Order: sequence, then structure tokens, then C-alpha cells
Amino acid sequence: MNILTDDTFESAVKGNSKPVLVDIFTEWCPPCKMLGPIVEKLSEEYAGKVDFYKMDLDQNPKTGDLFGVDRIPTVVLFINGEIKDKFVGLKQEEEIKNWINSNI
Amino acid sequence: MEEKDIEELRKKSDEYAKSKGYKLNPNETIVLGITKGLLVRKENFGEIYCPCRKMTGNKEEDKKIICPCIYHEDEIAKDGHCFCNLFVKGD
Repeated sequence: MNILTDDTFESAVKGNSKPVLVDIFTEWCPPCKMLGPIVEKLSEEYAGKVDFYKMDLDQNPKTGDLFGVDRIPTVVLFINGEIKDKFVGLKQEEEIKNWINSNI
Repeated sequence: MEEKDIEELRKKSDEYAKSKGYKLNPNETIVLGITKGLLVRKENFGEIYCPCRKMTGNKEEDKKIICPCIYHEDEIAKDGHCFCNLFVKGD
């Protein structure tokens, strides 16, 4: 899965015609560690349809502030560079798939 | 981070949970992960700030997320666990 940073946000998300999912995490957040492999798996399943990125919030606070992220994990879905929807906290694979499918 | 620091904080969290009628998450991996996360934030920022919440850099504002944070009681009442999953509802 691609890494997103404050420096690459504009080009990766704003300039992307495909839906973009960003998994915002920090290294020491256990729910983030549990969500990570689920999102990783989904990135393979949705390859070509949705671009998946992960972003360490502690390393990239500027972009986190843009989305008003106050808790982690937070997952944000962008369509045409704009936020379509987001969720906060750990969710199971099926829930996330339903969430993506209902938004793209 | 030393083993004794992890054990000491885990014990304090457990005592706090019991005093409030809560429990620590029965999943030891999660408890250990959060405890380490709290200690890393203590090393880096001086307090055991919740590792599942964003720090603002404003000391007054960030006091709210020193574990146990100001949100945990409402979250446990509503969801059965605090957002980070350290404390869960008692039996």
C-alpha cells in the first residue's frame, strides 16, 4: 500500500480521478495495527478501482488537520479529490467493503 | 522503555478500572500495545497521552487526552469500551 505524506497529498488525492482511500494511523495505536492488515487486503481486492494509501498522523499532522482528524484510526474516502465519507475506529472487513461500495 | 515501567502502568490501569467498576480489555495484546503506546508518548511528550487520539500540541487542550481521558466514561457507557479499547465495561 502506498504511503501518503503532507508533501504528496495534493498530487495523490486532489489530482486523482479514481476514488482514493486513506487509512490514517499512528505507530503505537493498537486499533490501527488491527485495522491495517484488513485495509491492506482490501487494497488488493479493489486494485484498479480505488487507490489505497496509508498515512502516519504523527509524521503528517498538517494533512490530518485538513480533515479534522482527532482520533485514530480514521479512514477517509475521497471522490474527485473531495471527501465523500469517513469513519473512525476499528471496523471489520465486511463493514468496510459495504462502506466503500455504498460510496463509490 | 523498561519492563518494570510497562508492568507498573498496567497495574495502575487495572487498579483504576476496578475502582470504577470497569475491566481492562481481556485481550492482553491490546492492553500491552496501548500500555507501550502510552509510555512512548510519555517519553516523547511528558504525559501518558492516549495513543489513539491526536495531540494538538496545546498542553491545556491535550490534558483532556491523558489516560484515563475525559471521554472514556461516556464511551464505555455508550459502546462498552473506551475508544482505544483499554477499558471495557465490567461484568
